[in-house]
Amino acid sequence: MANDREVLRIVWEGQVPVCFQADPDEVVGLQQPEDFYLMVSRLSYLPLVTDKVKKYFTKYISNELQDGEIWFDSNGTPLKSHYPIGVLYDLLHPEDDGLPWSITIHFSKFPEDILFKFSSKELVESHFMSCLKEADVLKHRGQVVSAMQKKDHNQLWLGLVNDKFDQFWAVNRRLMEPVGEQECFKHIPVRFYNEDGTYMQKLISPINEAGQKRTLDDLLNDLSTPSRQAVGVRSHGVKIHGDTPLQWMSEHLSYPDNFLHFCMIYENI
Amino acid sequence: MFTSHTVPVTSILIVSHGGSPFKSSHRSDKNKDFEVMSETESTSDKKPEVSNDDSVSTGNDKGSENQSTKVDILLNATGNVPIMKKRRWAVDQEKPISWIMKFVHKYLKLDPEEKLFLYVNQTFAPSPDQIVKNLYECHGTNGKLVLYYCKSQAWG
Amino acid sequence: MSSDEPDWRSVLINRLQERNRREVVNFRGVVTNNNRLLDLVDQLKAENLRLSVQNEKLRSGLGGSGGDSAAIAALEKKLLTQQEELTELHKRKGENAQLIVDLNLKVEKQNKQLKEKEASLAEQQAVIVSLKAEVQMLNSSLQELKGLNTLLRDEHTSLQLELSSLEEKLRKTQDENRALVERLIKYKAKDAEKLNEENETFLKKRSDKVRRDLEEAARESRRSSSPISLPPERSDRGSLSDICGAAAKMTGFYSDSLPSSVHLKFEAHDGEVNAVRWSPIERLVATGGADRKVKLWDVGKTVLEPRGALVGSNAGVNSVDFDSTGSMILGTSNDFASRVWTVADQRLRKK
Repeated sequence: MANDREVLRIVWEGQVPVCFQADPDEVVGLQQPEDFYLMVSRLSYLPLVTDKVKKYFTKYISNELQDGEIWFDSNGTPLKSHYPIGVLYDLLHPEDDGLPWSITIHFSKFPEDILFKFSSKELVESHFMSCLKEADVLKHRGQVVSAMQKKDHNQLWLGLVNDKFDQFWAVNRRLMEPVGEQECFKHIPVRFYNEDGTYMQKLISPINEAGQKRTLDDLLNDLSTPSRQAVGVRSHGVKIHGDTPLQWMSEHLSYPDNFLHFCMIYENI
Repeated sequence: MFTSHTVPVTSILIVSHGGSPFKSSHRSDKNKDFEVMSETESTSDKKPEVSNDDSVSTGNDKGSENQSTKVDILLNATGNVPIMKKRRWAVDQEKPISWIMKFVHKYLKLDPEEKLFLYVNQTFAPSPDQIVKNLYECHGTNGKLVLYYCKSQAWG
Repeated sequence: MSSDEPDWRSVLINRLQERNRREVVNFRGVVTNNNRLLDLVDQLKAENLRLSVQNEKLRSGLGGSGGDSAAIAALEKKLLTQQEELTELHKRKGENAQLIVDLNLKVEKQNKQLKEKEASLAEQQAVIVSLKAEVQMLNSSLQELKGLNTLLRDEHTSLQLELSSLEEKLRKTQDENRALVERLIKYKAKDAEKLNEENETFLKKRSDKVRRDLEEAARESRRSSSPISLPPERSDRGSLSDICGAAAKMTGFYSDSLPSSVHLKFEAHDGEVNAVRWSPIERLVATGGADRKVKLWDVGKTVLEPRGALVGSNAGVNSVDFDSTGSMILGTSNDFASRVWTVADQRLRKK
């Protein structure tokens, strides 16, 4: 059960310092705006934390651009705003460096061929709930989330938006329990990210045929191919120990969307 | 879909109960699908059609080594959406969901401003950049991925 | 759980704590400070703006109280506003020009429409004129027809008059005819009377002669035999009655008696013979048959001589009759009609 509140709490408290910069091409006026520094939660999404940033930079750009679709890039890479911030950061920073994280905010020239318009909070919310449902389909065949009421869904979302750990976990606890007498989930909702930001999804069982709990190492073995060996995963900015059981990871290290987001470390053989 | 506000023990019963009609309905679908499949096979026009639309793809050019692998998807209409004459399609597994949405949108000749929602197994809406392969691996049944499309949010 | 916490968990927690220290703790203060500073900058900027505005206000207030610079500034300001007004007016002028152009276009369009309407009106009028001419033509033809009609009617009345006069004439001639027939009958009756008289006188003479002869004979017998005064009277009387009877026998040729032999026999019709009638004046017999004909036969001579067939009936003739003068024949037939023929020319006269 997801009862290791110490871990949950540490994971929840993960933040990334971000240095938001304006796009010099969009700025009007003589003065370039100062960079805007912000601590953002790793578990949150960019559109949820950037209201202040947007407001700050809006003053410096021309009027006709102000209503444009906002997007972000980090060092030239457009950022998918429906990925959790922690995932975005971990993907772009395989090593523990590059802090604070420099992100450029754009008000125009939305790269429609790369990004999808997830800039409004409503869209992010619906994406978030969809992920939650998909995760529940994998874990409990979707029974828990569909048994919940609308207000529970709202509580989950508002807990995330307002950074309220207790509010969020009061509901999320139910999603993180195996149903009935089972000890484990049906499958582990997990996404394995490649370096280019795409991800792979597979049916991962938390136990093996003999009914024993599988660990991360077992999983890495499964993911290895003769030409490429999976040697480790990073999530929440840390490399995870190979002995960690999959069920426990799902319960404790999942992002609020109930998925484990793993950045894979491969070694070519 | 599942209405179980009951104690855990009975909820198990409901699990099995809720599961079986779901499966059986798919099984009954299957026979029809095979007919469709054989028909498409005989006409053998599906591959060119799909590859023609490659140009529309949003350019998910990752994994070019398994570009040719295709996945069977089954498109079901829900609500007041026109049904598609051909429900079963073989789709490049690296294609994103947004590509399928565009394809259905075009196939049904919907207005550009009309919305289209896709659902996997009548449960959740996949992210538009989710690729078909992932959904197929996790939610495919009987060798195919069942997608439902509608013009209003259904299983929101 | 913490007592025998597994290796991987402590590793994880350590790493996460290390991460938080690295990423969060190190930066939190800086970022908060930065945020505060930014806010402060904003505040200061606002303050600055406010102050500069105030300064300007004060300066303008100062300038207004004395000094050319202030007046110039005021004038400049005025100029500025006027220039603004000017540009505004220019803009409005441009708008108005655009409006005028639009309106002109509209007027043109309306004119076009008007022209179209007029054209159609003229067309309609032409149509009306042609229709009127037609109406006139028709009226005149109507008048003509009316004239013709009255003419025809007049003709008709005159013809009718003629007809009635002719009918009158006909009636007169018929009356004349009847009168003549009557006279003829009278003459005939006279003839018959004369004949009868002659006959009577003849008979008288004969009976006288017979009587005389008888008287002579009686005188002779009286002379010859016993003259019995009474018996001869008696016998006279009886002989008279005998003579009468003999006379009656002699005249019996004409008297009624049962016909015992057929005088004439002939085939009259192709079918049944329904009616037969003597002519009252001639030795003529009319027969009517099922072959829809009335035939006339002359039986005055020893041989039969057909005098003609009267045709016109549409069904079998049931009965025939002559009129009293014998000049006409009436026939009735099964076609619910009675027809009259004249004997002389054997034509159908009336139906």
